[in-house]
Amino acid sequence: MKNIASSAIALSLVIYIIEVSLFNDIRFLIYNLVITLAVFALYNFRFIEAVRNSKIPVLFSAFMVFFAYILNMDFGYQKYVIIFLKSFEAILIVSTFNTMFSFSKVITGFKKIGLLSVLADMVFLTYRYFDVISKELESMEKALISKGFKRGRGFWEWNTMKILGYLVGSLFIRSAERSERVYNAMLSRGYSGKLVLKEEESLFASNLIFIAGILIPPAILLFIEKVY
Amino acid sequence: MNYAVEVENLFFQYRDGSEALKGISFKIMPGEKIAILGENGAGKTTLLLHLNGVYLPKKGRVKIFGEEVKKGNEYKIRQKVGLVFQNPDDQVFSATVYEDIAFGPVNFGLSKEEVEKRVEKAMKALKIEELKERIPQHLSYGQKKKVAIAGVIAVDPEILILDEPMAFLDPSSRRQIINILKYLEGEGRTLIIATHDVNFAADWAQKVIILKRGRVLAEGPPEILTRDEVIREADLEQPLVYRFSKEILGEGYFLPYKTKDFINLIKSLINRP
Repeated sequence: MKNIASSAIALSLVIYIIEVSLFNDIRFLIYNLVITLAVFALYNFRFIEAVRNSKIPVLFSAFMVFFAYILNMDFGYQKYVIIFLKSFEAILIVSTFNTMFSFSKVITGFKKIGLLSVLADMVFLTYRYFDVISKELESMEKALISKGFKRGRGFWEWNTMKILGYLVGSLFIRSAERSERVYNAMLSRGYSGKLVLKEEESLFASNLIFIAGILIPPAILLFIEKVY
Repeated sequence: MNYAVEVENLFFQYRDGSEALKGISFKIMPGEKIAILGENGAGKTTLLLHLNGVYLPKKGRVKIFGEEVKKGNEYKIRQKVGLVFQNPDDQVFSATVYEDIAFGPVNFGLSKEEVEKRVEKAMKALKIEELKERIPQHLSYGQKKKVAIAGVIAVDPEILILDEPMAFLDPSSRRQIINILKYLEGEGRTLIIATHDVNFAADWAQKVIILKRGRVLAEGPPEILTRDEVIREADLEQPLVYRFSKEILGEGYFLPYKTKDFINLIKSLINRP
């Protein structure tokens, strides 16, 4: 059990996301969401933390879906609601697994099931520094406000756009500089191109019950949706 | 003689053409406590990255315990020379504190048992055992700093370099870092600290190296921090107790630059019949 713990976690994540992506009916997606939330509630874990961690990806997904809808309204809104629900459920499960099993275990699992090591390491570092960059952006915003910056009548107003452009540009440069410092810090502690994460821990029976509880309901729902 | 660190005529130029180091030379004995001072942009951090083998000399030489740092042995050098970066967010990135402290020992190929032993020892030395399973991004700045130091101590380097260890710390965290330094001194390690803090350097260091625009401006015992011409040239300030003593007593008296000596002086003045 010890050697397959992280692989089992990563594989169940992939299976859940594939299951969710196969739904075509909005009702079944909602049923699946309700059942998934019920399993979370039954398992009694740090659900609020998982929701909080998924806030920004969910907002990003909502923005992208809305943007796609604005560009092409011919298909009606339902198709876009389905896309959003699918992404929402996928983000929620990833966030839940991270909260429950630790991100390094999930990443180790992805490496074991064949994801390129360099890609997995990039995901790991992006996840870690997302928080640092968010804080940096927050402090830059505060600095702007303290210097009297006010948004114009709307997002598209020229001055607002210009200042926000500077902000994003500056954040980009700071991030590039930080990435160099992080890389140097990693080199100084023996990094040689491969992130070695913590040794695996065992997967408990209760974890397996949770994984089964997450994977079986969407499989049944999919069967009902496709057959009936 | 086998010095812990020997730097000979070291030059370094960044990709944009700016020269960070312009012929630096100095030597450090094993077990010495060194403070490297200098204004922003003096080349302190660039120099430290050379001592750890992250930057390799293009011109000049760096030797660690007699072994020249060059391509091919930098990995070995990094085991001997630990470097704690100024901003702990640049250094502490793992999912938990335990994993972050284990990062170095794991990379250097130590056995699982040895990694555990080292991590436990480092956490105990820094008094951060209760942070073991915490997520680094949720820690305070001072706690992250301690985790960063523990991560380097766990590698067990003979030379430990700290870049601005006191920067942005509250007084309590600062005191804790000073205690950690005392603990590290007790272990006989060579300690090198880059700092702007002349008061700390005067109190703590056995030797001071002052950099100015990529060159060594002055080098010697911490007394050099009282020399007007050096301080003026380096854009630094004399230690506070020295300035205070000079103001009160004037020239012609013994003017202490260490806090401990200053306290003794005040005591002797108070007790004078």
